[in-house]
Amino acid sequence: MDDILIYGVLLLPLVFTIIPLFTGKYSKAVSTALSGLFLLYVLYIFIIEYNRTVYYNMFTMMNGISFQVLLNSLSIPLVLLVSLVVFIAISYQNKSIENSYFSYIFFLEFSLIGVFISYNLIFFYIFWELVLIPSYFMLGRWGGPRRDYTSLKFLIYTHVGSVFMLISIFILGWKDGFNFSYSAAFPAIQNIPESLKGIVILGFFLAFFIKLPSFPFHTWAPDVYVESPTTSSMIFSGLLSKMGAFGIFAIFINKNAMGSYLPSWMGILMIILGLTSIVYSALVALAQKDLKKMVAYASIGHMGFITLSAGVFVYAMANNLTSYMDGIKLVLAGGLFMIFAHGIIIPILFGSVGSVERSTGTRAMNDLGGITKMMPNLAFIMVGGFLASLGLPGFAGFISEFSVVVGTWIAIGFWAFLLIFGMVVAASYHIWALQKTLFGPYNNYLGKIGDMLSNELWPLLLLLIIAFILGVYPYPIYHLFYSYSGIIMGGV
Amino acid sequence: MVINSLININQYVIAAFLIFLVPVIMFPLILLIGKFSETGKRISGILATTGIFISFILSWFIYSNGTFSFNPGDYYFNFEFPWFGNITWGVFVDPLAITMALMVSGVSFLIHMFAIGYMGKDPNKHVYFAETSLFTGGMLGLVLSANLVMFFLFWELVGLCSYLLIGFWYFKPNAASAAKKAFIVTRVGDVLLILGLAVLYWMTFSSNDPLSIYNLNTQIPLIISRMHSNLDLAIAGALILGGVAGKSSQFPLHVWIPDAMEGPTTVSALIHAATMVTAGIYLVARIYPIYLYALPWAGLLVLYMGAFTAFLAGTIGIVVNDVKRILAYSTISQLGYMLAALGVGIVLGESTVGYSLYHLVVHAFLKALLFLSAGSILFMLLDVRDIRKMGGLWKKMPITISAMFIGALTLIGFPPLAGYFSKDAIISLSYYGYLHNTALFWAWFLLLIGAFLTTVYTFRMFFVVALGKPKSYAAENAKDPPWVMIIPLIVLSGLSIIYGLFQTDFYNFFNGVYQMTTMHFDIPWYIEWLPFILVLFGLLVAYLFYASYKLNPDTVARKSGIFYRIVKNKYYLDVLFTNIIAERFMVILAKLFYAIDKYVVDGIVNGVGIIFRILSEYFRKIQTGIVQYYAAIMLAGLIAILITVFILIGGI
Repeated sequence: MDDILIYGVLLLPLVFTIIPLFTGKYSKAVSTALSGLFLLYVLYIFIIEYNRTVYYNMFTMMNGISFQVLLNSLSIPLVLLVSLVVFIAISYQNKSIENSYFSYIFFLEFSLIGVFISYNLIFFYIFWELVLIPSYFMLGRWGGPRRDYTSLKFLIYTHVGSVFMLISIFILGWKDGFNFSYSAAFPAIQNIPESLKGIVILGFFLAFFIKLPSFPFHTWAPDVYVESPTTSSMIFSGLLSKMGAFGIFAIFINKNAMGSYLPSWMGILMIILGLTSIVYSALVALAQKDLKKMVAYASIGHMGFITLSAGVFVYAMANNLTSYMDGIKLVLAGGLFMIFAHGIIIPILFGSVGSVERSTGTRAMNDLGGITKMMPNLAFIMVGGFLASLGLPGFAGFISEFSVVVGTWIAIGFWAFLLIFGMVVAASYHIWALQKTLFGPYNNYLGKIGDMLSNELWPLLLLLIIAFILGVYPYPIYHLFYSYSGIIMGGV
Repeated sequence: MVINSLININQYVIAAFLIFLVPVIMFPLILLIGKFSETGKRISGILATTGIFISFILSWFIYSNGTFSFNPGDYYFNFEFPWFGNITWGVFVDPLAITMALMVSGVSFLIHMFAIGYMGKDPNKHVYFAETSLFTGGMLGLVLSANLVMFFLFWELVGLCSYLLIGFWYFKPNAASAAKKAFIVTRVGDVLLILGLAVLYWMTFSSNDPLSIYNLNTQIPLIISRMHSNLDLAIAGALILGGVAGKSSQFPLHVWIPDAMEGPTTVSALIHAATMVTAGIYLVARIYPIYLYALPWAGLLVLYMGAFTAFLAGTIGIVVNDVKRILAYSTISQLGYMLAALGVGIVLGESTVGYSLYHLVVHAFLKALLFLSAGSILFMLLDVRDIRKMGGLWKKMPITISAMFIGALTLIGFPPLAGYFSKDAIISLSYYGYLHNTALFWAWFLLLIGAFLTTVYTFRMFFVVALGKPKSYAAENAKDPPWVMIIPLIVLSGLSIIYGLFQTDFYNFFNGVYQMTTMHFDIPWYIEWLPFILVLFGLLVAYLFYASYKLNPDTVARKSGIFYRIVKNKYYLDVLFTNIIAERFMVILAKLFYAIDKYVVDGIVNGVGIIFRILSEYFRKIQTGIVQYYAAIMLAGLIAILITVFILIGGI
């Protein structure tokens, strides 16, 4: 691959950041076109670099710290996901919003891609923190009634996690000669005194599990997802949480990074957190009356599968289940695939809920009912999205849920009943919400309402089709993750 | 792409793929042309019916070619592609699969034809036909799957379609609620099934395609000998049986099916005859070696789940008044027979699979017949489903009710109709099993009583509907429906009458799978005729109560007191599941967790925030605004940090 292409991956979104500010009333059209072109650009790279690893040193600073980037079978699909979801969100967004909103989205895209392709902890951290800036403004300026409280909570909560990670990064840097490159920093863990090792691991743990979000660090997420405008919810839930997931797979459990140094109980802890996330979020979602908040908890539930799959792997390593490694690979690939599947599916849910809110003026399930009659297109998209979200086969979510559930059996045996209990509750609240909003007699108090607008329908339909294709033929993405799970296990 | 197969691609493989792909592709096709043109809407029924007819022709093509000679080794073919991870997908065709494919496509074709008339006036009929097409395609895909994961995909597709079709009239609150119930109850079974697959996966993951049906059918003894234990196999079998209970509506997950009657009657016919409920029976038959080689309790579980359900549903069928619900409980009961026949196999060997499948096919014919004739009645009676409002219909709609009469006689197993050969064979089979293993006695007993119950509820329904005087205005003006609806009834009646002739041929074709000769069981003649005697007795009882009114059923109901109440309330299982577990326990649990989330988990977060705010209030006093003062504090802090760091470095 040409070097210039690598620069483009990172820098094009940064260039796009200023363009919407100067395009006046065409900024939505221009932004859509730019993000669409960038999506094609990333797709091109995805195809030509399929299942290959590209390592590139962008520049070296005076003090010897280099900005290295790594494009591999994990980061390229993630960059593809980022550009896809950003394209969808911008297409979905209506025109009547300030131009700077699109700038913030592009800046967020730039920072996210930076997180996913950095191969140096300092730059990883910088991008990690940069993400907060556009998110804070997108939430604080265009959010719902509780936006002040929520944006501050979001900023402080996730920042606290990051600060712990910064301490860990410095401790690592101090032992690897302030190089901070992944390849140098993580082997340095063995030179760190025992007392500090725990702090290093804790720092990364907090940063990743807060961002994921996993129980019990999840409470910022429902507030943020609910208070954000629809397109921001799509991006936050679809992409921000992937930073945590990326951190877990690429750094935390990766045998080439921290994976070899985790304490033996970490696997059990992660399994417990994952299981709890799934069951707990399902039960809390069942109690919700606000459709958007329910979707927010559904999103947390999906993240539980990621924690669970990582936990099963760590557990298997600690308990020397080496003869089962062929099967464990399936679990890891399932967890990794959840990143992609969730990133595609959850924007459909937030998007359709956003359309319901725009059209009817409410998100409360009790005030809705039978709106299929007035909004048949919405009903199609929403049923599709909800079914995909509950893990129905034929959609991408199933492939990863199936892989994880199957794999979990070897680690936890009959405790898997908790997991399937969570899955049944998840199915129940999804179906129950559909019944209350879409089906039954039409609630005449809603008056005459219109269907989805075309700028809402087509992006979501596209996502639904992708979710379906990846559910039937997951091979292009799954194969990458399947080979990446070999890397997590210590392969090169 | 690596192709993992036992044969090269040829016209049979392509035909096998097309069998399920044609109806599946019809789904978007019909949906789109129906949405954008009125003509498309009008021809949607014909399109769907044609698609399924193509599937039937293709199934017949595979069935009739020489692939299925009875020489060992060439009675099946298997063709697989990699799917995800080490899981594959593809087609696996053997006599079991092709029998099911023929039955599903054939019966579904007739039901679709009937539906052209039945759904003719519905404004959303293109949606209906698109969904039923997908429904049938899903079932055909399930039947031909080469891998259990692919099987599960279609299994859920079938469940999804039944959800959509039960709720087809979504604006009816009952329909919306019944659809939800069907989905959630079957989902309970499905997650158990996933777990069962998980257990199986870990037994076969090292082979090149784990969970492939071909491997599970050929390599189970090998796996057992490697693992030195068949406990895991039994656990897998039991968990999979959970999925079967959900899909094939066996006790205790049978509660969704009676409510599912809220959908259009043709949907009920599809669910009960061709698609959906037979999937569970097929699953057990498909991976039968698992039960055969597992610890015996897994097989006994299959047997007693079936036998008990056959009995239980029969009792409820007697007290229900909704014509469709009577048929629904009858389906549950008959599925119990099929499952029980499979369960007997742990004593008598694999050849009982043939007995089960024969009853499955016969039941598909007769239940489609009964549902379609009930559909004709409801079509004329404007969807009045209470049998007490019908009456005297034999004179008003002679063809329909005659068809129903044939269906009813087949259902109770009256010789020489097909039901006699299929159902009584299962009862005799279970007695033969009892002669080998005394644990089977109660299964035989329950199945035997079931035969009596079947007769009573069937002919109670038939007598009340067909004889006497019309009891409503609609019933007085009923007449036979149009020909497009009559033809399927006649075809199905014909099949119900003559299919008994093929009993031995069916078993022989079938046992080719296991290279076994059909079993001849040796039981006393009076045991063999006992079911028929009970059928005659049942007919007498039904006649006395519901045709001649010599006896009054209400008096019996009053006298039996608490028993009647229990049965009338369906053993309180609906109350337990819906009112206690779903509406009380789960709601309270959910609210409790939400409170914990709000006040404890988030409370701690906000609490920490508040503590910091109070602290900052306190420390604010230090902020004097003098810059030098700040600088001094910053310097002090920096020195403190550096000292800490150096101590730590030095301490190594």
